[in-house]
Amino acid sequence: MVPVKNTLLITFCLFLLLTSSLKSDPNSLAFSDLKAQTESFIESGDFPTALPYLKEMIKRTEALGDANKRKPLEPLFYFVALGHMMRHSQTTQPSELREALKYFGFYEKEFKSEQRYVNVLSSRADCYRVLGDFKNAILPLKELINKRNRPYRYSEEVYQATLEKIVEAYYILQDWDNGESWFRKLLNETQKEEEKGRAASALVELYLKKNQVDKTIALLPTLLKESPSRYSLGLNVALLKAGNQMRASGKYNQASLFFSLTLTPDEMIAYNEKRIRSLKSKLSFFKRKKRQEMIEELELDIFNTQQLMESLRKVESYGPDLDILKARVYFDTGRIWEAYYSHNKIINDYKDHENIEEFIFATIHGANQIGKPELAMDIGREYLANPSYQAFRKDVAMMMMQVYQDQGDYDRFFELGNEFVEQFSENQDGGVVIYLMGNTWLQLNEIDTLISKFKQFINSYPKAPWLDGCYYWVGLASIYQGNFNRAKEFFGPLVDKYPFSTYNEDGLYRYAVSIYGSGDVDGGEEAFKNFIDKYNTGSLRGECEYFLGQIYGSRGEIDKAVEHYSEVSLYADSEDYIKNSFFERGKLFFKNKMYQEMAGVYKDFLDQYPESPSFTDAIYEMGRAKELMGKPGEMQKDYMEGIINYGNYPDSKGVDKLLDVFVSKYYTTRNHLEKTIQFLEKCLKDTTFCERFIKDKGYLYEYFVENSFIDRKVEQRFRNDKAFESMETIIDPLKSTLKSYKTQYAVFPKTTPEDLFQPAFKKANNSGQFTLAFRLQMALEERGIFVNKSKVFSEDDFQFASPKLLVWIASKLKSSDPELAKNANSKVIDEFPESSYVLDALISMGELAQKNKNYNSAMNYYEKASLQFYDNEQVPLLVIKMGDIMREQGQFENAREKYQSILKTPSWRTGTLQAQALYHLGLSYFDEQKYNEAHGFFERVFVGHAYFADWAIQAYMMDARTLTKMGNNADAKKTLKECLAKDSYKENPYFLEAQELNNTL
Amino acid sequence: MNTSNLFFLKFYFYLLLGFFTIAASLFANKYLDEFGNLPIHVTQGKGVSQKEYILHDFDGRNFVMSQKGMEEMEILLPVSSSESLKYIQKDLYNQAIALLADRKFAEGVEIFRESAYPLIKFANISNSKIDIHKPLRIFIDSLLEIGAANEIYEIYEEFDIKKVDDLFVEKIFDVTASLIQLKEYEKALKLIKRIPLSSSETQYLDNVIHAAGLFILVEEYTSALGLYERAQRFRESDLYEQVILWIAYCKVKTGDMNGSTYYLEKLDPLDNNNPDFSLYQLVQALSSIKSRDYRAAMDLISQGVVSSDRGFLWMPELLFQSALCYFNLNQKEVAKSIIDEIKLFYPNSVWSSKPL
Repeated sequence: MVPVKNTLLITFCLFLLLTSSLKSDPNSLAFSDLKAQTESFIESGDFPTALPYLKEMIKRTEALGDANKRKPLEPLFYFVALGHMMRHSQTTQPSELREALKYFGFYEKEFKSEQRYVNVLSSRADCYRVLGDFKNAILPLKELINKRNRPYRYSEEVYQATLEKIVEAYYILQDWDNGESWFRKLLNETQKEEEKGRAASALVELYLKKNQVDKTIALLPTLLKESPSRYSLGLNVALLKAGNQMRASGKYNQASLFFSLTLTPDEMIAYNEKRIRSLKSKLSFFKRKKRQEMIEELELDIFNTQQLMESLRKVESYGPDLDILKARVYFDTGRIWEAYYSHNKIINDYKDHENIEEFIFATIHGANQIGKPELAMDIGREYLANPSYQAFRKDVAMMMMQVYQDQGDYDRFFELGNEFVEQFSENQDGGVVIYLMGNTWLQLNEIDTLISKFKQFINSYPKAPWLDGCYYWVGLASIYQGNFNRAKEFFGPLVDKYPFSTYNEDGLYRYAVSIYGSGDVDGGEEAFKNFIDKYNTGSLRGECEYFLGQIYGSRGEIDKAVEHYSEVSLYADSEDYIKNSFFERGKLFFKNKMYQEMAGVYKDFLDQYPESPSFTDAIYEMGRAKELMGKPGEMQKDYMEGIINYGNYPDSKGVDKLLDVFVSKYYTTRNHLEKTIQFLEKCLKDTTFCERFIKDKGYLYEYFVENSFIDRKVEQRFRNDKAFESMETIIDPLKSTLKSYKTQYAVFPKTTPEDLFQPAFKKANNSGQFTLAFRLQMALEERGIFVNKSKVFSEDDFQFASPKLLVWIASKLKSSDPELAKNANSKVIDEFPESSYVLDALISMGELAQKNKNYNSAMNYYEKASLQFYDNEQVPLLVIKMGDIMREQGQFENAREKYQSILKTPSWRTGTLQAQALYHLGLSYFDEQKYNEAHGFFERVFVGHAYFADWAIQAYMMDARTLTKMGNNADAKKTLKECLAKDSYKENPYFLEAQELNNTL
Repeated sequence: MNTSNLFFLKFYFYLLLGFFTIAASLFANKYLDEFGNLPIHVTQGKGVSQKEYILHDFDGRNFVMSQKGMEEMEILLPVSSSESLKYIQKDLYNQAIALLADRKFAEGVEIFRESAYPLIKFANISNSKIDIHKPLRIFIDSLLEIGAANEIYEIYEEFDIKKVDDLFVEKIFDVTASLIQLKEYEKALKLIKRIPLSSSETQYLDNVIHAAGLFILVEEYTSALGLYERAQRFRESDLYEQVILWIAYCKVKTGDMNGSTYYLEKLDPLDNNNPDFSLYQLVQALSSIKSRDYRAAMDLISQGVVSSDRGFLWMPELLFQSALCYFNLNQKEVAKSIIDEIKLFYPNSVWSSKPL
């Protein structure tokens, strides 16, 4: 049975009321009785019973043979056809419909112009539709539509129903070419949502089958209208195919649209089951109301829907495939939440699917993507617990390790890593696990564990395909520990046994580093060269070139060193290596007094790396080279420009050095240039003056000692240059020398730092260039000029500060806001650990702690500073500070150990440090009330180190106090008298204090 | 008191009453006044016994009519005992039908009114007694075609829904939809509330629920809530679960969060294979969105999206809320593609033009 639209027989159902008329043999009745009997059946709507009577009337009418009297046949043909149609509805015999069609044919032959012909056309189409002959059903329907009003007249309702039937017929015939215009017509003309849906469905299916996907897009919204045709299998299969097609061509959003519209056979069945329930509910209502035409329509609809469901149940469901495609396309379109939940649904709905492992893995991946690692882990654990799951085992394990790592659950991370290695010891993917484990141990600084575990793996799984990783990580960990010999032991086998390992390149490089690091310079040289032979284009080549530069530099082979350093920037990616390759060259040139080359290499750096944070460091170094070349004017000019141009960048730490030198050397350089120029000019003008220097070398010495601002190089020329030996030869070189100094003076900035910085500060401060403003303020304050007195520094200012500025800010805040000062220092220590100003910050922190009597903390800072900057000149002073803390706490012996350490360290045996250490030893005994010992140390200071007035005067005063404590006031007075008698002490700030003490004794 | 004065007052009162009635009906529907009282022509009987009558009115029990040619003699014909009266289609009627057949609805309706309005006073009588229902329904359909839902509303004011033919009852849903389209929400609600719903009359329950959905689409949540609350009595309905969810939904939308929770708790947690699951998720997610907890909302909504049919009434909003969550979770490109999808699939939905 084909599904048909259910308006069949509506026109005559109104008459379907059975009558209890008497029946007689029609052949035996008189015509008038026959007519009356027939009319009676017709009026009661009993057409089937009327059939023999109607046919008898036709027979008798036709028997008359009068062509003019055939008009009465018109209703008779029609009623007979209706009678057979009604019989069909009672018997379902197709022959009845064929008989009806025969009589409709008779009618059509003779009575086309009658109004009733509209009904005939419609009913004929219905007969064909019920017979499943849609091709023939179309013809009368099209005639009805095409000739509407001319000549046929019928209602809009009939028009719509006819249109719907044509669409139905073309759709069932799948006659897309002829059907398209009718589908479109119905879509445009119908007001019924359901019919719009039907028309759109047909068009979408048509376009998809004709591969005209673009034409369907505009129809998709209409497809959403709830209509039975949306639940057509053909349409949904076409949508599924279209989705696949779009996805294959990378049009994921469009694929998503098609998949989202595709319904599965199960959904179609569910919809139709619900529809049947609804139809049955309506049917029972209309049965109560005895609405016969609705009853017929609903019964037919229910029957057809049931038939449809039968066929849907036989279709092999593509539901799983559709669900999987939907899930994948969610991933494709970045809808990660939907992707996760659709995969999650799939793994629950299709547990036995052949690709279940893939779906589980996708679900785990999705859970991680949406930030639900705990779910990912639950599913992952379940997966690993199922021994039949193998395909994604290693991926799941690795993913879980990654999550454990992200969560910081390192116990589970390493546990799973160990399990994996044990389970998959022969699996290549173990390499990734080894990588994760090695990298994590290194990050956690658990280097001993790394080494012992990987050594264990090397012993336990000697044939594992991932052993290269173990050798690599043990080697690398050994380098971290500075154990280059062990590093060699592990990198050696790595490069020998695993030439194709992914670690080979890095391993070979690190092998060379470990050889070099172990002190084998020649071996290192060979190993670095070996690396370059093998990997001559990689970025590590740049690093090897750097080390070769270092090796040759240390051997004094400058040309070779420079050659290798020059190669670094061609290969290396690391900015540090590139920068260092320039700066190391600069140092080499400096050491070898090749100032021209030194300036050149920094000039190259400035030209090639204008964005480098080390840009201003290079300006500084180039300035040093220029100064050494006798171009201090250029140096000062470069420094001044560097300060103004780059002073606002907190990261340009070199600016602080430029500022220091520019300010501190400004006046001396200016004097130096001016005095030298004056001297040279005088020599050229005054022959006698000049000649005396040529002839009297003693006078030459005395003159330059007295006029120390004149360049000593000029004195050297008078001594060593042959051209300076006579007045005849000296003039030209003097002129040339004068010109050189004048050139320098010409470029030397004429504006003093004070005059330059004050307006520059204002401008920078007003325009929000706070880093520059702070730097200039700092420089001016160091010159005793306070430009921004009202400024109260806050934490917001830290963002503009370089390490030096932070230390300076901290020093300003030390008394007013010690907490903020601490923060400034902490920022230097934490955020700029490589900066030399960390030392100042640590000392400042120690002093703040000491001031608050937080001795442990102060000691920690000082110790950290002295360890980190062990070769800095401030370290002995830190040692004294530490001794002072111990002394303050009554730990006199410990304090004295500290002070003694200064006396014992050869490099610290300078006068002032010795004096300080002895003085503090004296203080320690004084505090302990061991006055004899104290007296001895104070005496050693002012006797042995009288030249250091500060310490000597302080020692005199303390000795006087000590003697007083010992009850020896006379000696105390005598001691002070000796101190106050020294003229060289009179300008010292402690002298006044000594005088006051003397008055009190 | 002078009785003549009393008479005067009574007369004046009736005069006033009459004025107000006329004014109200003028306001209501001028065509009813103009054509409503016109008589119609009918026949009774068959063959030679067939007679033509002029049918003036219906007094509640009897047809008030006169025989053609004897117009001065009024006949009262009890409806209960009378044979069926056949409506005679006059020229004007046929002209209108011809225009409608040509899809010239506006012109057809203009002519049709004179024939159709006189039929309205007989609409509450069974079709078996007088066959005016079909022409009247064609007229109402034609009014719908030209979007004259307000005029239909006034016509329905004349109908007794309990007596009128079922065809007119069924038509109420189309008229309601049309009124909603015209933003005549109050009238739409009044009309739909006239649909009988009782334990023995559940045949229109699905339609009423559907009509409530139309109010949801235009964000008339209070109107929708009234209809759903009416429908929730029918626990046996396939749509019962959905009705409860819609009540919970409307409660959230009208700010009654406790009420929403109360209704949600009436249901057992829905399985994700349940067609209403996505609505259930949406209702729950709305609370999270109100508190700007977009991750929690996304979690609920995305589960709904993957389990939902694109044809569901709540789908545009579900997708919109999904886009909103993606947007606020900083996945703006994904949000944009979802909005594009809403614009394509649901161009007329309020959710297609809302800003994120």
